[in-house]
Amino acid sequence: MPRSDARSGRLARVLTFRRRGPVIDIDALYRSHAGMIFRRVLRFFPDDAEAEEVVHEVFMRAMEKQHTFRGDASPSTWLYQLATRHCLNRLRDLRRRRETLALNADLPWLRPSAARDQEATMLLSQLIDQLDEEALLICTLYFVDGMSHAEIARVVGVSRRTIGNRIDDARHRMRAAAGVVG
Amino acid sequence: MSAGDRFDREGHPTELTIARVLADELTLDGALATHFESCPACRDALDAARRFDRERALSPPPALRASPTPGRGRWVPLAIAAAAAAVVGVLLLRPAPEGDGFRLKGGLALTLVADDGGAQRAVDDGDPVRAGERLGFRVQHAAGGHLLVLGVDGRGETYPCHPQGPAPASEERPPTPRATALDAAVEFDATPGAETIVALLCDGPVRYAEVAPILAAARGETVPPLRAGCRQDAVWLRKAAP
Repeated sequence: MPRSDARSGRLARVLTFRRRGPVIDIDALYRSHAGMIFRRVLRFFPDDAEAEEVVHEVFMRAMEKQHTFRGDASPSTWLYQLATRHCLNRLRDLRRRRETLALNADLPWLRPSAARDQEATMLLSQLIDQLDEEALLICTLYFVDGMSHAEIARVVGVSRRTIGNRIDDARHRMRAAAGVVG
Repeated sequence: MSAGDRFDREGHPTELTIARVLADELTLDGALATHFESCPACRDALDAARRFDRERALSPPPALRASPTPGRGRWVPLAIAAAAAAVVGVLLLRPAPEGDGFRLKGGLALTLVADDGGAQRAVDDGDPVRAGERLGFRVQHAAGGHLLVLGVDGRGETYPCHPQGPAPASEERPPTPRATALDAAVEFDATPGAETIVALLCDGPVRYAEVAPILAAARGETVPPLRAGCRQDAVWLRKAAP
């Protein structure tokens, strides 16, 4: 059976909405979204084995955090922010910021954007130590992924005004610290 | 959500947008389709992501495999208990209230409506039903195709739900973007246990006799794909003792 068709059938049952709220079938979610999360994690952790381990951690985190899923969001959006947040936290925990941080830009599913990648890596390596978890997530989605304020607001679940403020604040920090960002 | 928040600040679909397209959460039409047609780099990115998802199979973490999953899996053991449904004629169901269920564009969604002769209610995975209640079917599918709905009880006995008759076969249907009631129903008998209802939407005709044995053999386990290339959705119900 073509995978896309099988996936569609399973996805329709990934979420069951009951009177008490959405209940997520994590097992089905894993079958349908593990590839997507693997791709996302490889952006931060280029080593295949390490990335697979992180994917597992993300889904374990999804099990713990399923109460945070908003019924009007898509599973991909929810997992995307969960995975990004987890990768950033892991980078922090491992204190890799002390090493040369290099985002994996050479991935076939990423549209080439060398200038942005270079800037993003530089920003991330400096901001990772200065911002709180939410601000770091917002800045990553903005500088690394190039998302619009509107899309970030949808992914993170805060207002566009908050997104703008957080990004402005990050820019100010960067100017103050190194005068790198205009 | 506006179309604008699917594109990055340079005007290309974001990594998340590509992920949502591949997960069937976004339909590849309108501005998105136009962009992919005109941007080779984004088209290559989409193809590469699709290829990666197809070729890189990950095994679930052990803790995930061992964990109880809410929803469908919770009721699978109940299939050991016997349950039976007797097919009864055709019943035109009144439209039921729209549920707030999560449904995907481009896929197939089956929802069920139980009718105890007085009131109708939507029922979903694990919900209880009673002997004597009639069960109606609502389907939603963005693409047209050949639709067959069938069920299996705890004894592994299958029964056609839609269409019915002596040699049931799929019904050819146009795209049905909104949940629509089928003009058929089954009535539950008195045996308590689990019932599984499966909807199948195929590109070509499919006979009940072809797929029913596969469903019967799957009793007590997750329903496998009944036919290659078809879309499939299923709902599990608990039938209470009378």
